Amino acid sequence: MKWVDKLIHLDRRYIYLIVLLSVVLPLMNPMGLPIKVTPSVEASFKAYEDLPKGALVLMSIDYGPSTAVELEPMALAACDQVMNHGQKVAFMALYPEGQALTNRLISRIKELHKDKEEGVDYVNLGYKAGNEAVPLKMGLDFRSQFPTDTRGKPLSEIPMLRDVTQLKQFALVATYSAGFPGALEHIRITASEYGMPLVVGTTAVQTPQYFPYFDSGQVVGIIGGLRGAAEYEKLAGFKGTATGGMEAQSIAHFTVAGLIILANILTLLQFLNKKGRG
Amino acid sequence: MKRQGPLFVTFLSGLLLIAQYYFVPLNFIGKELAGWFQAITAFAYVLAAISLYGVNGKKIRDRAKDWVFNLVLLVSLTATLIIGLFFNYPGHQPTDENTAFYWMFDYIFNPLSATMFSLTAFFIASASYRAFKARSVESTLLLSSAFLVMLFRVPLGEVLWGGVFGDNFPISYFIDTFIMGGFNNAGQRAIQIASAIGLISVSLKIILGVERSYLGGD
Amino acid sequence: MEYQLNEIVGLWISGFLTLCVFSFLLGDNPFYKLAEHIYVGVSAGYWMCVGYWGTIKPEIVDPLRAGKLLALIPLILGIMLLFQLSPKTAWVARWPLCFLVGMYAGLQIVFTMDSMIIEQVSASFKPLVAFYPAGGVDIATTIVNWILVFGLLTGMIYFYFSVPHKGLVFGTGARIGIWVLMIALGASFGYTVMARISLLIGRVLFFRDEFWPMIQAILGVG
Repeated sequence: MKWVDKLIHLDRRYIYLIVLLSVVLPLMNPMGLPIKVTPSVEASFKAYEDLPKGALVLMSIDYGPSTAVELEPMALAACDQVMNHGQKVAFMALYPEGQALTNRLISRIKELHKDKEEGVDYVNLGYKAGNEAVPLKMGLDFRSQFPTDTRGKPLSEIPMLRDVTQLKQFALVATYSAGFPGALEHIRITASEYGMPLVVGTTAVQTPQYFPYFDSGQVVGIIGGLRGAAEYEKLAGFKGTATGGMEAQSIAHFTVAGLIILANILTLLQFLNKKGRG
Repeated sequence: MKRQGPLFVTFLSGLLLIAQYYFVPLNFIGKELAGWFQAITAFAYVLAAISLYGVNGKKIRDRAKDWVFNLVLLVSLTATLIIGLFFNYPGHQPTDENTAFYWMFDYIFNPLSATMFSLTAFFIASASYRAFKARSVESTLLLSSAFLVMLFRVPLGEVLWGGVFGDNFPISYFIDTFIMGGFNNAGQRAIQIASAIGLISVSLKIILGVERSYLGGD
Repeated sequence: MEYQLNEIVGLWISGFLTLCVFSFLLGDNPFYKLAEHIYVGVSAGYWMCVGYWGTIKPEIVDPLRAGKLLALIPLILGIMLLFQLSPKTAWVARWPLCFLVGMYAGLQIVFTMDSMIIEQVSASFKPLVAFYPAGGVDIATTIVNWILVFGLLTGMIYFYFSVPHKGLVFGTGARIGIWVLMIALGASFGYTVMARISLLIGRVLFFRDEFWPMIQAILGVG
């Protein structure tokens, strides 16, 4: 069966084309599929929702441009939620690129909430090198870890952080994490060591790895990948990019699954053919 | 001295960090050490930049194959450094928003990084087609749970399942409760506890000077 | 929407570089090489700049300006790290390297034990017969708890290499353990596919939501 062999050794570029079409076509023709909310995302949403007005949130932007498509929508929906409820958010980053991507989040906050002010409602404390050493020092002495914001303004001159000297003064910590350094460092130090309630927003690749920490109660909620972001957008009533990406995500998953099934059938046919001949 | 001195530094820094954890009055040591750790880590970026100048400069001097691309690399590196370190804006740092540095990040670094990693979507599909075969009990189990997540952790799968089986047995609940809450938690926890034990034992060997391979030769 | 010149130029550059990287799918070529080398140069430059402004300046430069001489220690150790560049002087870099390794090892001992072992083990003590708060056996939770407890035990047996995997406990246990691990890794694979597809969605969204609207604005259509 020549055609079986041919299909098994199909030129990879055909597979690339099929995958590309499975993503492009649904994005051009949205279907509006319903999205079901999972318990871990609902718990994350509730952690923000239950915060009192004026509460301080520390948001760690621990991702780069490569994974921003998954993590930015969930971070943005949470920022919008925080601004709507009159809470305040301080951004930090364990990823070097996190600092610039925080600027992008702040630009969106400025667009969506024109009444909110920098330094009063949100502030960018920026990136700090040192991986685990950052949450360690942050818990020992918050001010010495973050003496200024990214503009070089001392914390004592920033209205929303004027009285903040300790990590414990924040009501919630959230990390939007793509890998190392990120969620695991915050779980081990910020949450487990310093006892801070922690929400973990993470890439789909890492999501299964953090579920045991949700089960153990070390993190209060997990938002996993673009799917988790779409669930969060639904809960927060925020129109973001994650929800629109779900159709493409669905079709592409079915395409990859279809390719795997096809390859397995072809392998079986090849095996039966060889057995029949020999 | 070339080995014993540094080994003592390893021992001392590890020991002090552990000590400050158990004795609260020593917390100031932890804070100071963490600050040094961070500063030295940041120097690693300087090391990387200098190293790039060395490696690529040599290739350009030797007119090695494709040396023009090495030149492109050095020009982009130098331009980013100049813009990021020396461009002054009143009330801003060069790395803030609405600066030339931020423009470079947004329109050059951002698309390059995002697209480089997006290539993996094609590679994972191609690799799955070639290698993901149900040849044994183990690989069939792997394939089955992968399929459950791939097909039914997306809205289309949930809608199709609901269309066939109704709402009496939601697939989303099954995946959350039994696959993620049961098998995934058990498997991932086993991996994490096993790796944590390994990590602690290696760390202890490093502090006590038993494990020295990180020192290199000589 | 009106576009500034810098945005138009930026979006064209972004679009061009995106296509350069995608061209790798057809095979290695000069366009991909160009994009690859720009990426390495810009990213190394970016990291060094944010490393300087975010860490070296506040941890070394500012304290030294304020007369805090203790900041000389990380400065000296940081400079010593640069000796790594030459094989002849690489031994000098061992001092800061050993400081980093020692600190890192200390951090692992202190924080790993509690968060990754003690808390994880204690969370695994689940009731093997679970009840609803109002009474009656909760069958679903009971099944999940059995999977979790025995899945974890057999998984740990699989990772216990000091004893041969033979007999009822270690042989069968390790065999079941590998099945549990395979189901867990299968779920991870499913999530990995999800992540990779998301990244591609991101790039297509760039062309749909950023690049194309700019073209439309320039042409005055749409």
